[in-house]
Amino acid sequence: MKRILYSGITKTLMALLLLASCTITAHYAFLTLRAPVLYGSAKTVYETKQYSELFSKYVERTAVYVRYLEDGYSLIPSALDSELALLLEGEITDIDLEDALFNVYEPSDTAFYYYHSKLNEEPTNFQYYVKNTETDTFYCSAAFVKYAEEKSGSVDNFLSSGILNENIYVILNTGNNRTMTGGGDSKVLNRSNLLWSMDFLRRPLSEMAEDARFKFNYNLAVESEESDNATDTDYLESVSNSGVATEYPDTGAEDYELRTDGSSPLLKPLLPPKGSYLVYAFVADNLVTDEFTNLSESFTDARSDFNNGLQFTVIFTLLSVFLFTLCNIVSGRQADSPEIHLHFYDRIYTELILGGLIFLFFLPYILWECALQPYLNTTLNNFVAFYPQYRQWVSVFLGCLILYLFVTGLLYFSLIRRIKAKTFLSSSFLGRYILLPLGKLLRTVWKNLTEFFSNLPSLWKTILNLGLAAVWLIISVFFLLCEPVELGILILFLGGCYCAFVCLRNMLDHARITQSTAQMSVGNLSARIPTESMLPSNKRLSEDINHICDGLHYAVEEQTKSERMKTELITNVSHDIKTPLTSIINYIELLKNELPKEGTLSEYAEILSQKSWRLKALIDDLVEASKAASGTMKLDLIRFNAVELLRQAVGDFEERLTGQNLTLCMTLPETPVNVLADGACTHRIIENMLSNVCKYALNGTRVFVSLDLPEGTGLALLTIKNTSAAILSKTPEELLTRFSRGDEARSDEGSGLGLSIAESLAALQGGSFYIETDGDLFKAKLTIPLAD
Amino acid sequence: MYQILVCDDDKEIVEAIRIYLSGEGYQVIPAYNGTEALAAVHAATPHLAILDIMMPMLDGLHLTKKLREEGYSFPILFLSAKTEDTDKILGLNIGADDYITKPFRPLELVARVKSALRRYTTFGSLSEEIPEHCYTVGGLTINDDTKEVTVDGEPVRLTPTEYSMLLLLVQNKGKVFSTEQIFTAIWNEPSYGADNIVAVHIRHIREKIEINPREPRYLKVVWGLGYKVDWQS
Repeated sequence: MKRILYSGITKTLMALLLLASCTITAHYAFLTLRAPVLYGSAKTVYETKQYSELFSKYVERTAVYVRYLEDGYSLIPSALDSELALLLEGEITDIDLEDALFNVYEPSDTAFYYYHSKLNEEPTNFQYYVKNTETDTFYCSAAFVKYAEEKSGSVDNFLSSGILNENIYVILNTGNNRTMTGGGDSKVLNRSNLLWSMDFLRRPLSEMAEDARFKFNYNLAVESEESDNATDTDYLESVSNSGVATEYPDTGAEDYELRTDGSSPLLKPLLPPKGSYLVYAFVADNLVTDEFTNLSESFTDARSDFNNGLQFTVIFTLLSVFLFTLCNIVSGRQADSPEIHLHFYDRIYTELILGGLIFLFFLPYILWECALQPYLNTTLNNFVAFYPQYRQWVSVFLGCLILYLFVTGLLYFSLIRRIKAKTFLSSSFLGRYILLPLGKLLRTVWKNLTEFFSNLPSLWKTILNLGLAAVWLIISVFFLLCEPVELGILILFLGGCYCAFVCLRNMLDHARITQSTAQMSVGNLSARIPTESMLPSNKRLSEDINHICDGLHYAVEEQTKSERMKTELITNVSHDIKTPLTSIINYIELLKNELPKEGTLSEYAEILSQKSWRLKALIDDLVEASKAASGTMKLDLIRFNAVELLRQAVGDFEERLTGQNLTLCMTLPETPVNVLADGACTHRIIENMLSNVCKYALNGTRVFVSLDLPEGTGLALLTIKNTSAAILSKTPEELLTRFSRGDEARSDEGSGLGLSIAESLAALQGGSFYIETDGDLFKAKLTIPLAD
Repeated sequence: MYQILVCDDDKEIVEAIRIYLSGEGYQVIPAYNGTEALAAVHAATPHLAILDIMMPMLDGLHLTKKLREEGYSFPILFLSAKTEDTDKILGLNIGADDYITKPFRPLELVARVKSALRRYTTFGSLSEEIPEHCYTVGGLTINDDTKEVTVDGEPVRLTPTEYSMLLLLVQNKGKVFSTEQIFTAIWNEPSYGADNIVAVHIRHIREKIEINPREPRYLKVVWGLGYKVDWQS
């Protein structure tokens, strides 16, 4: 898997795939972005700004056109021509004016014919109907009448109801200053444009020519919508101040008179308005191919691009991210070596690569600002919006993008390889000649300093610390007394923080050391003090303690191991001894049978027989003692009654005791004493104790057996007391050592292991066994853990 | 005449056993390793086999397993220097009838051989008709009608107290009785002060019915809990 992944072909393929994927992502992103950039969140074409602007523009044209018709275009004073031309700046182009020069029209007619052709002659979906309510004259195109009759039967029907079914329409009433828009979202229809249209119909031309707002509003309607609200309300106010059209005097003076009511100076009308108008306008659906259908088509295109391109954008973005991650992983890896492979350009100074990347980052912006935008003469939004229309540019654009991505990738992955190979710093000019040598120097200085201080005698260290503390206090007091006080407080505070930090660390370290040493002292030799992140002095102390514990642990392990090996050896040897011993015993028996019953030979044989059996007992005891001491014996701890066990054990010894004229005095509790121990093991201990009594007690004396429950110990205490036949010359400790016997002279009985075995077994089951002597009084004591 | 197979890699031990057993009137077939023993059994089926555990070629445990698998049912006695309880339990579980540790007392060995043989040979006839009020545990039989106690067919003389104690334990084979329970059952009174009288009686019974009282086959002690009668396997 790694071999395939890290091979050169795979890596190249992956890089190419990444390049392709990124390019495709960018292409689809441009396609997809068009719709949101152009139309925002609009759902239908009627809601778009472009559509409503165009519609408003046509309504305005209608207003201008009707005004020409009403006033009589030839009657418009020539003095106002230039002003009107000013008003309509931008609407009538130079070409139209040139037409006018070479045409039959009078210059003052040029504007009229422009509007006339726009509204009535050129094919358009825009339809209008304007009616002067006072004179009952109306203006509309022949196409409108045809359309209205087709739709609703008659023009009146259409105006009263049919128009409401159109997708976008507007009805203006200059009489009561009301507007009504419908279809789509009426909000996108610019109200100030509609008001402009109404005013144009009812206000004197001279006044409009003087009024800056008219020009402003006209331009605004074409250019942008942003400052709508402010001018809208202003304008409304001004309209209400100056009064609606019907309030103008019917017969007007021909002079200019300054009106001073309201805030803004208004000129008196040059010509009185003829009446109030009703304006109906709408855009018919796909009647002909015109600006409206173009807008609609481009909207549909952009929408479908958005709907189709979105999934591809998402898919290719994900693919690009995946490939990018993969490339980051495999970049520099080799199939046959764990080292990072560096290309020749990975050894160029890092600064150059970084600089190149930063330059590349800003390159698109520079290119756009300096080259593309002046050349294409468009905004970025429009470029994005009409991206597919720049057909000849798309391939150039994609080519540039591929080249750009390729170079960027080359530089970027070079950086990645440097980071992986840890040569990022060392391959940079700054790193190689300044940072790394400086770091090395600082490290050496720091190391030497710390070594120097840690090797100082502790007295010097204390003096140094006190000196530092004194310097700190003096400096802070100096600043507290003199200016600036804030610096003094800061130094005091920082120093205090440092002291608190060191104290806290010290306390934590101390707590750790105490905790671990407490564990060690109770026998957990595998416990260690965690020394990481300790203060240096505490760390040294902890490591020393850990070393001591290591040694102890090792010694104990060795001890246990050698005990176990000893037990194994003894067990194996005992098996090997027992086989010849069997023959010895058997043939001695045969010998005894063959020999005459009386005589010295028979006695000799008897001695041989006894000693060979003693040898067997010795071997058995030896094996048991060694097992008990090494702890290899398996115990089966159960809950049982110690009184019952004691009765059973004593019962077995009854005859041996009476045979030696020993009287047994037992003091046992009435109630059962439940202990948790191994029955057979406990019996063995008691047996050894009683057997000891039989061997060493003075004939004719009493033996005291008692079972007590000392309070608060959780143990049952069995005491057996007897009077020793021989003088007890040994200390209890000596008596408990292996092969020790009370009377060295008596060598025929016992192995000298009985009490030692008892001690080991008692310890194994969590109790203890010990001996006390008082003159001739011999006391053997056994404690057994209670069950409850 | 019973034929007994004796197998041990130590020739002297085999010879000594041969001497003791032939003194009792048995014919001994000697073998010195497991395969020889197996061949001897195939040649002529013995009435009993004494096998060492640790032997060259084929050890006693595997030999026993093989013999039992082949369908031989004669008693097998193990003779081993291994004295661990686990070794004994393993030996008995694998199909042996008794386990004797080395070094052994010759007389004990003979007694165990006799006991095993008697059980093996008389088992069939005994099992045919078990009279009423007759209890058996292994080779131990108590006839409550005649108040007779026999071990492997040999009559044993017990005192009335000992008899009723043994009867109580045999009737409740496998059940553990504490000394107090036994006392109350026998003497019909509480046991305060009675101390170790039950233990002493038990010891007496054991000496009469067991071959080796220190390693009882029938009357067993459960330390700290009491006594019970049980057969080894």
